[in-house]
Amino acid sequence: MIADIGYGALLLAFLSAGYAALAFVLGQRRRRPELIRSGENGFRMAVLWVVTASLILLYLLVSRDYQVRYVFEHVSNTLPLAYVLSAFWAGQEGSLLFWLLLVSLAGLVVLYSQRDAAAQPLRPYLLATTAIVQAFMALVLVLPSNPFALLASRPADGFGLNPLLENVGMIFHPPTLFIGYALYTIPFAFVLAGILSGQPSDAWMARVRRWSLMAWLFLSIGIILGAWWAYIELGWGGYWAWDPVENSSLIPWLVGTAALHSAAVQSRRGIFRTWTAVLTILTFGLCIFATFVTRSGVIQSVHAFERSSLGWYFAVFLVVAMAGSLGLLAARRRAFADNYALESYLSREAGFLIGNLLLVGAAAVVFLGTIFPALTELFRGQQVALDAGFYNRSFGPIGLAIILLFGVCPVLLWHRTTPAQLARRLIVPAILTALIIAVLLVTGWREPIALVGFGSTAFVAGSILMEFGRGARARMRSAGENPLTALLRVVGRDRRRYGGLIVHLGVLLIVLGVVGSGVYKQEYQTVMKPGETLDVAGYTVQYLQYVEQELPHKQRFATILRVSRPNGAVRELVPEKNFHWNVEQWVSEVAVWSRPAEDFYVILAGLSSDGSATFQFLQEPLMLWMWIGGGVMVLGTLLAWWPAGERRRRAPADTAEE
Amino acid sequence: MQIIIFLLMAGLTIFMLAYPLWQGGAAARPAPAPAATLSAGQCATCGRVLEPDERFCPQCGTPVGPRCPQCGRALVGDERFCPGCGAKLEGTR
Amino acid sequence: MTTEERMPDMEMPAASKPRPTKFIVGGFIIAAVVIYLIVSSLGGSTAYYLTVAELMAKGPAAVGEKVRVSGVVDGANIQYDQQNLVLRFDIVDNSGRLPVVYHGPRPDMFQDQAEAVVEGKLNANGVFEASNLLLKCPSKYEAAATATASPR
Repeated sequence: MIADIGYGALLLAFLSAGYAALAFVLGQRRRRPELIRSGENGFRMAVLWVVTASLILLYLLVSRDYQVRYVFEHVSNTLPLAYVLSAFWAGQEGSLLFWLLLVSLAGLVVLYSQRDAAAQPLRPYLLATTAIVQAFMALVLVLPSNPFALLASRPADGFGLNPLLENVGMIFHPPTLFIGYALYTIPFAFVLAGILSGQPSDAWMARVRRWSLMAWLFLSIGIILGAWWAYIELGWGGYWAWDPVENSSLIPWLVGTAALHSAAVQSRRGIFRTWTAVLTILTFGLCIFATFVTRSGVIQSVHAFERSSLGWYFAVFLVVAMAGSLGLLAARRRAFADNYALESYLSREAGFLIGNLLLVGAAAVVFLGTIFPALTELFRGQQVALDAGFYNRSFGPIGLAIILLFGVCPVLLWHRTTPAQLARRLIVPAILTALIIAVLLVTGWREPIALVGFGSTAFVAGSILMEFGRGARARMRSAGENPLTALLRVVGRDRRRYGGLIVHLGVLLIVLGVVGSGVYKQEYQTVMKPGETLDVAGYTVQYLQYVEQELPHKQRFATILRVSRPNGAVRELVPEKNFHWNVEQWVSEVAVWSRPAEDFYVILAGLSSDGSATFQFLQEPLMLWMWIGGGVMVLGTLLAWWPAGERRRRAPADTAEE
Repeated sequence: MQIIIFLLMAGLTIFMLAYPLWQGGAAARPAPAPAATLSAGQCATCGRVLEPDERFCPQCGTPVGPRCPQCGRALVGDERFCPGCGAKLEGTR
Repeated sequence: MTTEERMPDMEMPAASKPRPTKFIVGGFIIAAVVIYLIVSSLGGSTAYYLTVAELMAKGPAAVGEKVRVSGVVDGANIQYDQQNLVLRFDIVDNSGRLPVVYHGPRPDMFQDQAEAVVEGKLNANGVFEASNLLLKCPSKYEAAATATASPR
């Protein structure tokens, strides 16, 4: 049976990766190059067997081999192919194999890309660390979480996917998060390799940057897609519930963000070296912690997956990895000593440092909130839960301070800035903020939180956009270019900086969505019969008809609404409530009309046999900007990540002429 | 059947692991040769043209700047002794 | 490895320069603010996690106190007022029964034997007024699949 071969491949992957890690370390310590080469082959074999196991699992899913328990639990005869493929990462065993696959492929890229002379001392330790992570994951798959476990007989049909997961967001949300988690293995491996090889940290930190940025990008996309999935599919009109599972992906994101900024300062100024290393190690640890939270069931969650012994494997690995790497770092901390100390609070270095501390503080808030029930159970014998109010009151102010720093930090100069310089550069954004707040007050947006939120958004946006303007103007003057060329050139020349600023602009757009929908969300509910018309919140809703259909995997109950605006815009919205046979459960499908000003969100809350339906209408101002902001963040990150292609291609030609 | 396939897979793995050991240290890895004519403003590893203030190659991360004459270790520039091998550096700068 | 041995006090003389205390003070201020925010935000946001039996054991003392109670939905007693979106049901565990009232649309996962967590307060009539109703979804889902699969 082919599933047995998959299991064998996992076993061999575990052994090869374990051997590779040993061979790398011994080979480097004892200066035996042939042992290192043997280790590299071991690494290649581990990757080969992981890929083999993954392909076998995919084949079993596609061929709907229900004797394999994982296939039986996640696939059914009526499931469309796209969801059959996504079943690879829909369940616990598959998602862990997927993670292992990603770590292996990333390791393979490292194996073939880090081969220049300067990388030689790092290479064995780098690959050894990756191999240890691989071996751990393979061990988990071989022992407690085997994706190739068989049932005693072959059922005729499988159980199928949870209908809540049948959504485009759900096809992409888990794998992007997993890619982020898996890619963070590589920066961690670099830090360990740097410590063990004794190379100066500035040298390898430059290599880490693009790995961290890519990992961070996928983590960001994963979080945003998760929010979008919750908004569209869970049917309560919210996007974030401070659920432990959501929190556990936000914590590494916050610390990873701090690590990126710390590394940026290190590469330019040669300071914060220890900080960067610590944050990079912690980010990896928090990625493992996230898996521990989702898979151990230690912390109560709506998502709560099966409680299993698996969590304890992760807990032990986490403790060993963190204690080991942080201990090593402490022992070798002299190699990470900074060249000089900070000079002034009014310097960009200090701005970055404060931002970093705030990010770590925000992560600490979310972390404590997440483990609070477990902590209280440990110390008081009674679980105590925290509600969203805790996060709003503690995370909110820290978030606001971080956002304000977005505006101040870019105009600060390295080393030191005089208060006069700072004031000169911030006067325009400040005036803009005052104007916006005045306009908001006059037009009736008077909630204090909204004024603070929109006011600081305006301040920061003004400051960042002026930064673009300042750069372009300098170029126009010196190179005599027209404004557009100057702007593009200035951005193209310093992609790291301007890419980062664009990411900040994206975050501002998300803040607009958060504040708009958070403060001005309105709810209405009503009962309507087919044919009735109703005015609600500036919309005219006409309930056209009621449709009942029997589909292969569900009974569909849909209500067709014709919604129009006073300006004549019309949209057909079809909220549904469907009964899925496989889980014997109702699943609601909401309908949303998204416009830049606001979302109009319709939930079919109840339905009688005569077709009279209870609708819940939600009005969520500025929601659309949250998803646009996410897109802007992605573009900015890609810009900062993109290799400097133009200069590289020209370089050899230039040399030839000389 | 699956036992045979598994044994073949295991055999392949063991062969791949043992082959370099059996070959011994003879087949040394060829060190990447630096390009013949590199100007001072170029990265010694990948040849990328560097900005004057770049202390590390933004492409491959190779440090640009002083190295210890004894062990070749990259230096920050203000060390009196090489942190790698302990060689005295005063005269070389 | 001898190459990694370092001779003390011979590298980067500038590194030994102590950081100005004003930055350490700044760091402590930020840490203090974060801790203050955490501690001050706890008030009003905490809710004990109880089982139905534990809540019953507290008796009248539990009235008006914000708690989270977990139990299993009893299918025999579900009343859903579609017009006004009021959901009344009982949650039970092996030694207790708690009537619950919840205002809002009936969640999809809500059905007989679903594992539910209600957050809210017990009123003087012994009815639990839930402001939040959480139902565990994929776990139940995976467990259900497991239950179907395990007999063989």
